[in-house]
Amino acid sequence: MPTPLYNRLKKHRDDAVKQFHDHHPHAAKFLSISGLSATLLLSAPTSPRALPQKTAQVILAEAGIQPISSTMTALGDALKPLIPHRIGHLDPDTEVIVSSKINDLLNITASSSLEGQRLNHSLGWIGYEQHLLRHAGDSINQHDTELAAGIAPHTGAWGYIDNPQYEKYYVAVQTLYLPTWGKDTRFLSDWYRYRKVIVINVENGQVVVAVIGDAGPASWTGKQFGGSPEVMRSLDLTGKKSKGKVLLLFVDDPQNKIPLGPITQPLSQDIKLT
Amino acid sequence: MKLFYDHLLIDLHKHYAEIEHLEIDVKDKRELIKLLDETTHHTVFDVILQHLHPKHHQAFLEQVRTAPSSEKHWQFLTQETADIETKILQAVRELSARLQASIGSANRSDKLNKANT
Repeated sequence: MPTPLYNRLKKHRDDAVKQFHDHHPHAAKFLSISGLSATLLLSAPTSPRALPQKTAQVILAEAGIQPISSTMTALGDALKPLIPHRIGHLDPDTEVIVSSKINDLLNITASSSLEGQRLNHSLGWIGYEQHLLRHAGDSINQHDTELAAGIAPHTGAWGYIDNPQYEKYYVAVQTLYLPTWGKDTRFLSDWYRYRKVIVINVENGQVVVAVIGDAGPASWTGKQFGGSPEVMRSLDLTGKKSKGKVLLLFVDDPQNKIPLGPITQPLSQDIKLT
Repeated sequence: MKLFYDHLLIDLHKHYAEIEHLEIDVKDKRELIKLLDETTHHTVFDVILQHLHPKHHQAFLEQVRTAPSSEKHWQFLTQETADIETKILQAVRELSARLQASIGSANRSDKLNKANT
């Protein structure tokens, strides 16, 4: 990929490596003698690590004899050391580990890519959105929860969101910034409309399953996702803390067995496998 | 993978976001992000080792290799160096400014090349 951008970034990298070696030859020597190349230590670690064994807590939670909050604590604790501070995507090996942990702890198959589709971000900031119009004449008073959020004056990207459950648990994602959105608009619009996703608050381990129900937010907002009032409540991102860092992954649920809403314990095998 | 100094990299987020928005293959994006990660990694460690007594270098590097995200590294650095976070932040800010200039002009060249082909 010898593009000008690649070449420039490579030069920055090479300059940084050279500077490190010039300033700290003893450190480079140690790395070499110890069998660890500078690259091994001084590149973002991507080597796969063995997955930890399930803890007793997790096993009990899966058996349904554990307070439900323990599962979410376990998920939060499991993800914390894996989630980088920057937004974007996890590195490929970490993605595999995270998907594996979600599967182990929640019994949900989730990943950042599905059927060849991938958002520009799977890790980013989510902001608080209003309710969406479900039909002509809809008003905030006709909604049953989170009335203080208000209702957007116009329909979402896919028109009226006529399934009340979808409206309750929807997220907005930046389909408009997908690289091929301009060329494959029809296909992409159909693929993303009401696509099931899992959203995880990486700070506290709270999880909600939702559908993609709107497009946005604009990039200038500094946020990559939007969440319905109920989604944000489920993630414990309301009030003063109405923005938070989340992991948003596609849920592979071809039989539509996984219910929308907050997840507080592992899904039963029955739900997933029947 | 989370690294113990991740929270000091906010100035670099915009560059990662810019790369994620490029109209290129995911594989190519990963290459660019890897270069960015490695540049950052070397820059940060250069600053740390410059301010940490050489007698600690070997043990510190070994500790980081073993537990890249551990917050215990801060306890150690806080004891053994003075105001290291500010120094790292400053280096990251300078790196961000250099990247800003490079990514902006390289992007313009890429777009021009694309338009001409």
